[in-house]
Amino acid sequence: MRNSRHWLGQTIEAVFALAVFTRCVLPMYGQARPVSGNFVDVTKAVGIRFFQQASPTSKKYLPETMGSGVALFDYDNDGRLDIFFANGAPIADPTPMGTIPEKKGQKYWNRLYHQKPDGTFEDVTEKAGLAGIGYSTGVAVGDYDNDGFEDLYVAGYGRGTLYHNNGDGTFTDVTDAAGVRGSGWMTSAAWVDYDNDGRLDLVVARYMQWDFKDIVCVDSKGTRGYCHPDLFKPESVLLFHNDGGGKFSEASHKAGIDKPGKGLGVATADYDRDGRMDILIANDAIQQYLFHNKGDGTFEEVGLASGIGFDGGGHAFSGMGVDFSDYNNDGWPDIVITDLAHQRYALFTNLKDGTFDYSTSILGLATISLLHSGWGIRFMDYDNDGWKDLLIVQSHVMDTIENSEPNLHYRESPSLLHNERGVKFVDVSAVSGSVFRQQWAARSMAIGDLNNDGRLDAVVTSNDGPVWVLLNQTETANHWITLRLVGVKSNRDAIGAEVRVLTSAGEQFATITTTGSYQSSSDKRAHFGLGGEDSIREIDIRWPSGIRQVLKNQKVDSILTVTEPVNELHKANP
Amino acid sequence: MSQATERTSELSQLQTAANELSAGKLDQAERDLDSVLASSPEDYRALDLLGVVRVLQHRQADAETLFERVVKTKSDFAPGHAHLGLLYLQLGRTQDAVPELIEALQLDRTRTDVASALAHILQDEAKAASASGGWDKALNLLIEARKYAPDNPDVEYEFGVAAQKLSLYDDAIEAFQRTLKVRKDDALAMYYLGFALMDRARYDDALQQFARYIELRPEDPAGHGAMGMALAGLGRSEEARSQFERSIALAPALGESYYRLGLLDLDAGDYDRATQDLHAALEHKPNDAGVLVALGKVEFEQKHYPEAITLLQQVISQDDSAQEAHYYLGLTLARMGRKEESSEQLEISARLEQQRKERGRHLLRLNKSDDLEQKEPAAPQ
Repeated sequence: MRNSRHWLGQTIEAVFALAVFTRCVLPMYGQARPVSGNFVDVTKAVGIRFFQQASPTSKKYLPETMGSGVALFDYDNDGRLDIFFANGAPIADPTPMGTIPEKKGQKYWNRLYHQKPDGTFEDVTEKAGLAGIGYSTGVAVGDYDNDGFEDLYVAGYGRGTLYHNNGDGTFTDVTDAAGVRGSGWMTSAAWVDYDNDGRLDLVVARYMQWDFKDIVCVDSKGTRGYCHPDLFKPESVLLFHNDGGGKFSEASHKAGIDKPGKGLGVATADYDRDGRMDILIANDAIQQYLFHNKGDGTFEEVGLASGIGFDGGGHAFSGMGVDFSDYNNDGWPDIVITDLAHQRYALFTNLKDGTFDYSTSILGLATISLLHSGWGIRFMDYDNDGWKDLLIVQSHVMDTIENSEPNLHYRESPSLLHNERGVKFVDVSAVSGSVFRQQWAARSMAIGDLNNDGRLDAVVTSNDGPVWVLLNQTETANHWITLRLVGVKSNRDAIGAEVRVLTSAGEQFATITTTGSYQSSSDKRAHFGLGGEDSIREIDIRWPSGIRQVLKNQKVDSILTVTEPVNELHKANP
Repeated sequence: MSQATERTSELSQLQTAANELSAGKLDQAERDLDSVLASSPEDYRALDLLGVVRVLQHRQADAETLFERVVKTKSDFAPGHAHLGLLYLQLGRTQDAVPELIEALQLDRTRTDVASALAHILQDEAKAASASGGWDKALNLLIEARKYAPDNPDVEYEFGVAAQKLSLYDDAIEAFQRTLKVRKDDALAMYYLGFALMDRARYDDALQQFARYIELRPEDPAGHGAMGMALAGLGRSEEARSQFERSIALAPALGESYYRLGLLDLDAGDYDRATQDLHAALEHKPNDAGVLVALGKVEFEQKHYPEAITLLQQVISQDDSAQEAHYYLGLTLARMGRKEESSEQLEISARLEQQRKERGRHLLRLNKSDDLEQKEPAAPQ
C-alpha cells in the first residue's frame, strides 16, 4: 500500500516544493540585551475597584468580547490625572433584534475616579454625573468648547454621549443639543481639529452593521464562538464637525470620509507634515484606511497607495489597536496596528514621501507578535532613553480559542518591547515585572504619567473583568521633560501641535493627541525621555494654527506648561 | 430421510466444503458442493462456495454466473454480493463492483474485506482526481474512503495531503497524526505534518517533526530545508541559515534553499545578499514566481522601481492571479507617482485577496470525522 501514496507524495524533492505554497514571513533579529522595565500593579493600593461588565450570553453576541475603554485626563485641572472607565450594560439571553442595551444597576455604571494628592483615587461618578446610559465602548477626551476643562465623549453600541465638563466637578450630557448621538456600533473615538479652525471635531469609528441576530458560528471543534466580521457588512466612520456654540454637524459624507469599514481603532497624526491632521482607522479583517487631509475640509482615503492597507504580503489583517507616532525619531509619524495571532502586528515606517514601508519583520515584531493577539497599543518611552518603546495589551478575541488552536490562548500577558534606537524592538516583558507574567483578557489601555514622576504609567482594562493600574517604577537615571501645551488661537488642548525636542544627542518628535490604542484616551501631555542629556537646546512647537514657537535651554525633569504665543506670531519665544 | 435430517446433512457437507476450500482442496470441495446442489439445485450457499472454487480455478466467467444466481436467489445474502463485487473488481469492472460491494456492506457491516475494497476504489479515484488538479474532489473521495477504512494509515496520509493542498490545515494535522499513530516512523507523514503545523504557526511543534525526520533521513536536503523554515518562523535566523546552507550542500541544484536564504536576507534588510541568493535560486528554478516576486521586493525596497516593475510584470505575465506581484507592482507604481496604473494593480490585488479570503472562509475546517461516520457512506463514482 505504500506505493499508493506516490500519487500524492511523489518524490522528496517534489514534496519540498510544497514549501512554495507555504512561504512565510521570516523574521531577522535574534535576542539583544534586554533593557528591563518595572511596571507594578497598584490598582488596589490606589483604591480602584472596577469590573467591566461584558454580559456574556450563550448566544455569543459580539459586543460581549470587545471590551470597554479607559481615559486618563485631568478633569478638575488639579495637575493630577484622573481615570474614567467605560462599562457595558446587561444583555439578555437571548436579546431581540433592534435592542439597544441600557445600563441597569450600579455595576454597569461607567466610573470616574478622581486622583487625590496622595496618589489614591476616589470614585466620584455619581457627583460627576457620568454613570452613563447604554453599552459603552470607546472614550475620547477633548476640550471641545475651549473653556479650559476637558470634556468627554463616550461611544457606545447604538448611541454615544457627549459630556460637557462644567468645571465644578460635574458634567452635563449635551449629546442631543450638540447633535453627536451617532448610531450603530461605535467603537473608538478621537478629538481632532481637522480644519484647523481652533475647535476640536469628533471622529467616531464604527465597527460594522451588526444586530442581535442569533447567528450560530462554531469553531473547528464544533464549539459555539463569536462570529467572524466577514459575516457582516461594513459601516462608515462618523465625523462630527464642531460648528461652535456647542453644535456639531455630521460631515462624514461631505468630507469624503464615509468609506464603509470595520473600524476598531482610531489614531490621528500629520503623516505628510503638511500642517493638517490625517486620520487612521484600524479595520478588522479588511483593508486599513488612511484618510489624507486635503486641507479643503475633505479627505482622500490613501491606505492602499500609501502601503498601509495590507500587510507585507498584500493580505488583510484584523486591525484592532493602533498608534500613529514617530518611533525612529526622524520627525515623521509611523504606524503600528495590533491584530490577531498568526497575523503579526503591522508596523509601517513613514518614508517621508507619502508612503510607508511594512517593517514588521525587519524591526523584529514578526517573531514577537506571531502568537499574540493585541488590542491596546502605544508607543511610549518607558525608560526615558529617548526612544519610544511599545506597550501592548493582549488577549485572543475568542474565549474558546484553546479548543481549536492549542498553541493560542484567550488570556495573555501584556508585552513590553524596547526600542533599540529605531532599528529593532526587543521583547523585555520577561524582565519587566510580574504583571508581564499575568494572563489577562485585556482590551483597552491608556498611557499617562499618573504620579508626575516623569515615567509613563498605564491603565489597562479587561473584557468582563477587572482593570489594572500599572505604575512605571523602572529604575533609570535618564532625564525627561513633559510638555503641557495650552492653545489660544489653536484648540485649547493643542491637539495636532507638533513638538520637536532637540538635545545634543539628537531630536525627537511628538504630536499632541489623546487618540490611539483601542477605545481609549491617553494623557494629552507630550512626554520625552532624554537619556543622559541634562539640558534641552531647543523645543520647537508648530501649533495647529500655524504659529511656530521655539523655546531655548529648558530645564529637564520637569513638567512645562507652554501657552500658544498669539501675540508674537511666528517669533521665537525665549 | 426426513427433511430436517436432509438439511443437517447438507449443512454438514457445506461446512466440510468450506473447510476444504480453505485448505486449498478445490476438487474435494467441488465434489461436496456438487452433491449438495444435486439434491438442492438452488442452495445459495453451495452456489456461492462453488463460485469461489471457480474463481480459484481461474474460471471467472463461470464464477460470475454462479454469483449472479446467488444474489438472484437470495438477495439479502451478503457473501454473494461481496464475492460478485470482488470478482468484478478483479475483472476491472469497477462500476459493476461498487453497487455489489455497497450492498454487501449494508447487509453485513463486519465485512472488512469489502470495506477495504471500497476504500481502495475511492483511493484510486482520488488519485486520478488529484492528478488532474481536482483536489477538492480527491478530498471528498477520501472522506468516503475514511468511512470504509477508518484506521487505515494510507488513507489518512492521502487525506492529509489533500487537506493540506486545500488549506484545511487542522484536518491535515489530524490526519498525519493518525498516520503516525499507526506508523511511528513514517518520515513523509512527519514531513507533511511539519508543514501543516507551520501553516498554523505552530513552529515549535513543526520543528520537532522535522528534527525526527532528519534523524531518520540525515542526508535529505528537504528535511534540512524544512527545518530551516521552522527555525526561521521562530525567529532563530542564524540556525535557519545553517539549515538552508546544509540543504544546499547536500543538493546544490535544489533552488528552494537559496530562495529561503533570500527571504531571510530580505527580512533582515540585507538586500545585496538577498539579490545574490535569489539569483542563485533563479538559476535552479528559472521563472519561479516566488523567487521573482522576492527579487521584485528587493528592488522595491532599494527604490529601484523600474527593475522592480520588470520583475513583477514578468510574474504577472506568467500568472495573472499572482496577488503579491500585483500588490507590489501597485505599490511601486504609487511610489513612482503613476497613480492610475497603481490603483489598477492595487485593486486587482485587493480583489484577489478578497477571493482568497472567501475561499478560506469556506475551507476553515471539515466536519469532524466522527460526525461523518454516523452518516451513510456514499457510493464511489
